Amino acid sequence: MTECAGAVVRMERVGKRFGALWAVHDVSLALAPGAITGLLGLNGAGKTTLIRMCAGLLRPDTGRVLIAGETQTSDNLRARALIGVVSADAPPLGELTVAQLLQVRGALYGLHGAALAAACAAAAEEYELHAFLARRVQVLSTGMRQRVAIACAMLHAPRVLLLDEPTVGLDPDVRAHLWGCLRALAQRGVTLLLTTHYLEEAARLCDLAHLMVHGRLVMSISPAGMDGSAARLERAYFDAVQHERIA
Amino acid sequence: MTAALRQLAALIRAYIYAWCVSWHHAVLSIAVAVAYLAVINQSFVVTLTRRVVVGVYTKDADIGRRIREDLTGKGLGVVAYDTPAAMWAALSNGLLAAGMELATNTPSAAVRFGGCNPLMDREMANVLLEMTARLATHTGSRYQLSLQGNSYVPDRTRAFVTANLVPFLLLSLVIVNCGIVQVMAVENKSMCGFLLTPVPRAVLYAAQLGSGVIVSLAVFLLAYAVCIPLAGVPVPAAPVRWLALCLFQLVCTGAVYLYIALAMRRYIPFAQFSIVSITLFIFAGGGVTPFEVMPQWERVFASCTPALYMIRSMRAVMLGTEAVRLNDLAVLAMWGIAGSVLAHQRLRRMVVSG
Repeated sequence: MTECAGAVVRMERVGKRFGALWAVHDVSLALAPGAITGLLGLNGAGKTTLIRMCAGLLRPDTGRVLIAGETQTSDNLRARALIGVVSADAPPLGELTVAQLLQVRGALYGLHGAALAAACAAAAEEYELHAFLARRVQVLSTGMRQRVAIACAMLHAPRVLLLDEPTVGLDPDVRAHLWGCLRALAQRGVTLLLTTHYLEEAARLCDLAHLMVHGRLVMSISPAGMDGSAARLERAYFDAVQHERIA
Repeated sequence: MTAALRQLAALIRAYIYAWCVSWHHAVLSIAVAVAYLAVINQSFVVTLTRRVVVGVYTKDADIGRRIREDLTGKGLGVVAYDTPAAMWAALSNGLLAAGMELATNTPSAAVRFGGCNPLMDREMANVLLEMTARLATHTGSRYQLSLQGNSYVPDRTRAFVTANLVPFLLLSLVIVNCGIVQVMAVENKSMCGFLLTPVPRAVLYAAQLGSGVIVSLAVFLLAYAVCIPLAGVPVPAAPVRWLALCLFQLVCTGAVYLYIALAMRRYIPFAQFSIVSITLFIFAGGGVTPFEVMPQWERVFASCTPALYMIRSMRAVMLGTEAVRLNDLAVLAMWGIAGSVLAHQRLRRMVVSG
């Protein structure tokens, strides 16, 4: 288990089984405030399942997930209020305009009146949504929709942001912009847990990247210790994957 | 041309293969098709049975016997009365579908109908007319026949048909606005977006049901308002009660279809189930065939559907011939409560099992 004093997210021997297959098995992690943690691995490694359990979309079969001391269960609304989720599992309602979507999301998280208006204005400012506020979400480009999704997830100022492949399908320009947004959030103390298939993204963005193979955490890599080199991270990644396949 | 045909064949083969692979869809399709043909075939014809009882009053024992034999031969139930007053009292209490009084001194017959169901009145009028003609032939007299309370007249029939159709329009609207909308929300995963928020599931459920019901009611009222001048549908005599009943029916059935949508979670099986269920309800819920003349198995089936209670209560309010039965409202409320509890549980399971 990754030890971390004052961890905001703590996973304790978390496991999830689908039939005979353990999608996630005996995973323990602790994420510090303001840390950006990446989950790497092949398709089917269990990254998304782990994110879903952190988000409360799946109940672990073993272990538990704690968000700021609150156990993540289907009934614990306090734990839900502490997280924001950006995932293809929870896309924003496409029929609404960006402004309407922000209003609805804020209201669902308990914001109203001046506080809601201020939060929406701040989100529009931070994620450069002003020009798109009156447009329907479903007509936006993929990159813009992803920005809207992050704006929605951050509207209630959560302590934890969970992102499942946040930059998939985005062009390099939009991806770089999103990285900037995510770094800014981390600097404000938001804890980020993200899954990605892009090793470059993990190298540039994450403080710590964990490699998952067959539902287990097999290696933790600090990209900073590799000078943020995507090539070195890539080598370590493929070595570990190869080793696990042989094992 | 040949290439295009090959492509066409390959595509058709692929579609059929995909259909066969989803075996539960195939089984459901076959089962509902069988149910549709079997039930509707039995329901389409109005056949009078012994449960439809006609009262007869006559002092002539021979004629009385002949009438009883005639009516029994037609499948109707017959009760002989000693006095006309007793018979008319039974008719007004709903114990009889019609009463027939044969005068003692003159060859005349007075037939009075219960007037609750024009379809049944039409069939009975045929039978009684035929019987009176035979009676006239037998006695060699010209019989004077008077009919009262026959509800098979244009205005009453229009009100009756409208009262039959309104519940199905309401059902169709909740299937779309409470059912299909939610199935699509599950399929496009926007439902998960709400499940992730710190909104209690009871609130989420109430919002889903409430929004569906409000949209359905608005559409229904607009459509009905347009149809009053356009198609001559009757203006409800007691608009507040009528509106309250429509709202009640929307809420109860909306809860049921919302649960079914959350349980099925896929558009195609839900759409198929909904279309067939509403068609079955139309024919087996008492909308086409009067409940009184249904065979026993169909009465059991009808009693298990919400349609029977929706139609009966809607008729009571729109025709005003009888009071709304509290039992009907209670059964609908139980459907609604069961749907709500199950839908709420289903929402909970969707959170914990993904």
